[in-house]
Amino acid sequence: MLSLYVLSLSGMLFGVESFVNKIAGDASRNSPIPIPDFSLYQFPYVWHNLSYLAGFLKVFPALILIVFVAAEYSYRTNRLQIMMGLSRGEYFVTQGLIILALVLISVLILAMWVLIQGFLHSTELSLISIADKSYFMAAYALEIMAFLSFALLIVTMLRRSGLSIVTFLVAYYVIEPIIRFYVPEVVAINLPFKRIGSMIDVPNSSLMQLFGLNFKTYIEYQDLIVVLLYTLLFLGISYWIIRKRNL
Amino acid sequence: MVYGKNILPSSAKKSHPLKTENMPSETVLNIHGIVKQFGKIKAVNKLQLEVKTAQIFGILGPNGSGKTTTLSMILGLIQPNQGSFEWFGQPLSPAILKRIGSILETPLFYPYLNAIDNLKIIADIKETTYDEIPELLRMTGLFERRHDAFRTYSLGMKQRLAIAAAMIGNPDVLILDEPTNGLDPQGIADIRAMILTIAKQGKTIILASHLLDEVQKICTHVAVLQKGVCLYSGSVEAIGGDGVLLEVSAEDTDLLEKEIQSCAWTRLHEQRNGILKVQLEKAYTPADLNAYLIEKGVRVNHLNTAKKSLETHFLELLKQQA
Repeated sequence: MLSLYVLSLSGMLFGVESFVNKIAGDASRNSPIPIPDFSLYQFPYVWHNLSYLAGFLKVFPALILIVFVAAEYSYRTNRLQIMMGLSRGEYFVTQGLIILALVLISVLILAMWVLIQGFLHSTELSLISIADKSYFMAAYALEIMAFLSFALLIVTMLRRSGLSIVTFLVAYYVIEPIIRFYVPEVVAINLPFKRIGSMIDVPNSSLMQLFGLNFKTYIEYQDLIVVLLYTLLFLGISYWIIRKRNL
Repeated sequence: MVYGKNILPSSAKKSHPLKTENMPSETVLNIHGIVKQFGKIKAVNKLQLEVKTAQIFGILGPNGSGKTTTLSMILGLIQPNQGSFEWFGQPLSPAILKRIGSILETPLFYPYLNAIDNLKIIADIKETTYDEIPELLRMTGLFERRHDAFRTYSLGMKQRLAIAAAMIGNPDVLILDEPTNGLDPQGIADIRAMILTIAKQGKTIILASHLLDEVQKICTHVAVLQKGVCLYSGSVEAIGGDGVLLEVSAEDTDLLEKEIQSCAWTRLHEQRNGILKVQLEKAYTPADLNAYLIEKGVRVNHLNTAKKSLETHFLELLKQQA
């Protein structure tokens, strides 16, 4: 499953430009206003663009994590490890290491594709333009980490693979949007998934600017802090559950 | 008591609180009235136990008597609702757990890994080397299958691997929950021999079982559990030893009783409905008793070998509580 994730993430980051350009090309043939051929892969904007797109695939590492951790519970190997002298804190750290490994893989793939595509398609290559806005990668790492922390919390609570996956997906795709709909604006933008996702906002492009839409092109500190807090909260609850639970 | 004194150089990774002066009859485990309740059911009810060094302590009880729950609690997997316990005078910690080898219920391992990898994981957790692994596999007869995934093993092989895992790191205490579960008679005999060898090295063994035979053959001390309550706790010898237990009855019950009381090598256990349960010393056979009684003028009309002493005691105890 890990290979599936790697392949699909890579594939998407590679192929999306040609895909979008094709649509733009078709559109410009039909419309009276010439739509400029825009490239997603120019440094420095490429960081922002690809991070945003990669964020769509963050469900995959979450599912991998859930399956892996649920397997530990179903085989009772967590019991084995604690019986043999691993402290509960150390056990929690091993789960944290799995999260870190997944985050690292995701970030490395992103970095690799950003650099490759950037070098292939950029017109101006200066160190500044490459490095500028590369903080999106850090934000991406945090996004994945927060997302996975939530997944870890769900699977630590429920301990079963299928149930955890379903609950997690429902929470992400169904429950939170519904809550967002009913709750006042102030609360809505603070709910976990929204915050995690809105760290890296839809990237600006000339197309958008044509329509007068202007999204964030940078990352706000508030977003960072809130997401960090959420991550710590989820991890903290998971740790507490692992400590207190009767195996 | 100087439990915490570390006489090993501090660079040694294995600095644990147990390798101090190995005084005989030091208390290894002391359980102070622990209680565990699951909803309405009291699985363990104010259990009080003490295990000393080099004892082979059997925890005997039918299924559902709280043996496994008790063992889970002293291994730190389950929190007791009330009461406490100490290992070597200290509360439980991962450092202490690393010096305890245990098997609990069914063998737990990673199904997709083979025997060697599974044992390596355990050696890592216990912070010891991998050197013992081939030897342990040979000793438990798993050496040929050591490269096969755990899920391909039969139940007996899984049990053997669990026993090998319990012995990694040369633990001072072994906790075995029904170690002969799933083994054929040869395997059972092997395990029995292994346990006795280990005990001779001065290690403490806590054995939970519902097989009275095994407990009587192996253990030095025993605690009998039923429905979470400890009915009896003491040495196996005190219960009755290995002599033959007979049921005798005669027409003249009083005379029979008198003669048996006065005989040097018999011991009257109890009398019920005119049938006397008599314990003979080891050297004597039922025929000896028969000859003796005839000599004394007692005509026996019923002479039968009763069940072994521990079993009798055990079943009696359980009947009293029911």
